[in-house]
Amino acid sequence: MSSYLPGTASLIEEIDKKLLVVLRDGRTLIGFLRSIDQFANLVLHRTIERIHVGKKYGDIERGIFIIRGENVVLLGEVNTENEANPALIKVPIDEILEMQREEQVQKQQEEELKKKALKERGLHLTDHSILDDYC
Amino acid sequence: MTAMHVVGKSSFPLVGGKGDAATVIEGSQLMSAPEEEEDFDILNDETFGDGVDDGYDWEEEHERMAEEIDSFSFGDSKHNGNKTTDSGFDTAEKSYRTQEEYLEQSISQLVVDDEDELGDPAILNASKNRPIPQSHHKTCLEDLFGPSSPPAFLDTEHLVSPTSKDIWRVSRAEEEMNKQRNNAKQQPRYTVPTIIERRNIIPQSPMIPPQAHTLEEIEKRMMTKPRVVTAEELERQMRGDAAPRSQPQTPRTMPSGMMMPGQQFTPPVPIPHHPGQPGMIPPMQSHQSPYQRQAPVGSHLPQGFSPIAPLFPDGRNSPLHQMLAGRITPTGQLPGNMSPIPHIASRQSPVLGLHSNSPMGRSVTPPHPLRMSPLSHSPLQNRVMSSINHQQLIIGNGMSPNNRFNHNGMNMPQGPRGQGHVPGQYGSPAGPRMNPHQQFNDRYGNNQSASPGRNQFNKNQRFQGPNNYRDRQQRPYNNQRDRENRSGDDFAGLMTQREKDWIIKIQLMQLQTENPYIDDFYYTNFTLNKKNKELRRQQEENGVATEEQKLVIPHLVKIETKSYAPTQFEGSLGRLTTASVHNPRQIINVTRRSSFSGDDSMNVSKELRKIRQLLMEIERGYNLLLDIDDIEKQVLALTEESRKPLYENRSEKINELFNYVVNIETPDNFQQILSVRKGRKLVARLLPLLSSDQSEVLVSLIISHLPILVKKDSEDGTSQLCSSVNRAIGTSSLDNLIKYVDYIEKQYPVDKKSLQAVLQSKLGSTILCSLLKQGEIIYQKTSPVDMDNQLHTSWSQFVEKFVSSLAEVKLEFIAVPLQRQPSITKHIDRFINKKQIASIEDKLAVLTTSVPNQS
Repeated sequence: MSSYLPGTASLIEEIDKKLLVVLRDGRTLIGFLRSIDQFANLVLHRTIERIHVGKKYGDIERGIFIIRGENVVLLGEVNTENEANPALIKVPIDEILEMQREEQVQKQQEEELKKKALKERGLHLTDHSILDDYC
Repeated sequence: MTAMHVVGKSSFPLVGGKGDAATVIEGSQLMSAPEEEEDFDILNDETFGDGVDDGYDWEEEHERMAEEIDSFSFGDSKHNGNKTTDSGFDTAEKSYRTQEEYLEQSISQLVVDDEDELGDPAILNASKNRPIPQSHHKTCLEDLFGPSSPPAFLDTEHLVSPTSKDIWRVSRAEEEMNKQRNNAKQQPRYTVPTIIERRNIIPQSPMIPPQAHTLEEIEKRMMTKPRVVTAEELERQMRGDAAPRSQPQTPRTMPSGMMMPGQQFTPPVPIPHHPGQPGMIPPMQSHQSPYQRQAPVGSHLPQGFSPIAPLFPDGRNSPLHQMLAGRITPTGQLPGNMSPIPHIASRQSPVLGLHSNSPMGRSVTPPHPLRMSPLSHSPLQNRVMSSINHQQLIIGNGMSPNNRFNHNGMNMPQGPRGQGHVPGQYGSPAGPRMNPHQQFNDRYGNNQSASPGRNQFNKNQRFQGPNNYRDRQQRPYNNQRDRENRSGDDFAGLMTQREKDWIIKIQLMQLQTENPYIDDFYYTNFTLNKKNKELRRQQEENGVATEEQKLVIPHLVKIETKSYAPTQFEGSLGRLTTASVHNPRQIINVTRRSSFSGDDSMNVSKELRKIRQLLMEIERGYNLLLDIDDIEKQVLALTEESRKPLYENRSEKINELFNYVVNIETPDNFQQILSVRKGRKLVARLLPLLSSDQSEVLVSLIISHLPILVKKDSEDGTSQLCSSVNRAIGTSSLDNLIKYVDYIEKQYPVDKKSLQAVLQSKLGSTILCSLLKQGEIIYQKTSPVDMDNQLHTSWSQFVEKFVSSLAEVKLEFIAVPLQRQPSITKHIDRFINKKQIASIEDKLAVLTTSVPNQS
């Protein structure tokens, strides 16, 4: 790693590779990195947004996606060889969206319960999700 | 996303003009609304006696110059047009209907203006005999506001969102062109008909007077007038005289040799075959994807040559380029987009940078470094941009006969705008610069018969800036690379190596430091200490003594010492300044009022003020010390010969500091300095730097202030002094030693056992030990024969005194010296008999043995 480039320049290595990018709002994008700049703004090509729920996932075509660098939580190369035999099951978009919604509702409920319980014990849970959607 | 964009585009108002009726009506508008803005300019300039005026005088002698100036006014009007259109962009997109329509009105108006300017051969020709205002074109507005309403081509850009402007204007113009074209010939691939037609008809509605919008405009222009004028001046300055002269060298034909294998990657744009137009423009216009419409000037230009390249024949020396590149702006290094012109263009039509990669065209996020370049917001750029516009116009005027343009516009069956998404050109998400040259060459080089269409032209214009040839030079490599990349992926290699390098450079630039001590002092010292520690450990293991590592700071000649002086514009009211990231606009001017501080000090007590004064003076001493430090660091990086001046500088500074500390005129100054910890440290740090004479003086001074220092012994700061004094004494001669001893005795004159008190302080015992040790060294070196008798006597007296004092001091009170000196015992042996020594042995051990035997 001696020749590691500083800052966003290290992303240059990733150009034209298939990347998975997790955004701050929790979205997961997969696409080919086409262009970057010093702010780590990214241009993804042939982008799909992938929604994972449990063992299932669904893809939404997004085409070209321009990501403002500050929104990137993590990013990594997708191993295209392993893509062929996924351990996950692909389901249609509608289905996965529905599942996602359910999951979110459930999460919310849990959160609510937690909050309530904490409140009963005299604790105030500050809502960090305001600060950052991704948690 | 892509699809969405496309839809959005096509739903634009005014996307394409089609239909005979529309054209006719537009034509009539052309007649009615044509030139007032130009007229304004001219008259304006005459009124205010501005630079343009000069141009007219000039003109008689230098036609070319005059043309240029004329084109300025062209540019002005165009810009005005931009401005108005501008604000509408967003609203249109958000489908605020009424606004939109209103805008359409004004826009169409503007387009009409543009069209008129360029389309009307009379006007084009008129550029040569400009001064005659075409009064028959004047409208009632002009009457209202007078001819003096100034052109506001620059300022308006600040007022409006940059995004929209040119999109509208140019698109309009192109539209018009298209309309005309369509008149001449029906194109098969016309796709967005209905909406366009609807929109185009709207402007002609009699309800809204054609000038409705320009009123605002004109007002604005009036407001912003002074700057405009000066901007022009600036441009002219920047451009110098050379620019216009180089016009004829328009790179009409790109050497086809330029075409690289990489070109094959250029998405296969179907080059439509246009029957019956030999030597005419190829169907590039057919690529007027919505994104392309932003291209600002292309439509006005006679096609077939780059407007910019001629301006900077050498590609580097053009003042424009220097101006832009001279800054550290990343722009300068941006590959492809490097030339200042692309920037400019992009400023004018901010989306331009993306215009070839259609899907992104609309994106709010700036996807490309270009967009982020700080310059893109600087007024400077605007100015530059405007100048470019002018240039282009000039070229248009100078080079192309109108009929060329007309041919272009009227007779050519250009591809209709609707089919904008020719795969290779816009449908591809190609980066902002998808080898524009290649594309250009493809078209241009291959189709010799035809000059590239508007799009092509725009591209050209963007990429054929001064750096044009640099671009070419690098091309082979890029192509090579690109090809490799693209082997499996058609879209790979959108970022060229140069663009990548550019980013890397930016990142590296952040790491660059001139002086790590300044930029990151603590980290630097931390790593240095760590290294040294390791080194010391190795030394202990290997027994090999290596020097401590020191950081070498190359003595860099500072290149950028230019300080920013705000540009002053002649005749401007108030202070107009240009601003950029590097030269931010000064907003607050804070000056310190001396009387204020005076009042302040009145409230402070005299004592406090004195202390503050003292601290300040010590600080000043530290400043000198730091300077000396810096010099030392720099010296290490230099060759022997080049070190001299630095050495001189250093010794000068040391002298200064020495004189400052050892201020003979105010003897208690030194005492004061020593009474502050900071001051003691300063003295301690100064001591090793001094020459032997100087250090002798200083050590004497320190010793004569021993009682004060001894009192402060418990405080921090004497230990450093200890080591410094220790070192200083270590280089002294016997003569000096005795002097020091005298000083000590002067301070404690009472009796023979005066050294008792001295021995009880750490500093004192350290000094005494150092003296004795140094004495031993001297006695070892010199044979008894050579020894000065007098010195020997006084020295032996001192030793006796020392021993007797030591005998008196209680063991517990003897302070441990900084360094124990085993050689003291030996030295005392020389003077004192064994019996006496035995009595003080345990006490002597405190000073000599390395094993601490204190309770």
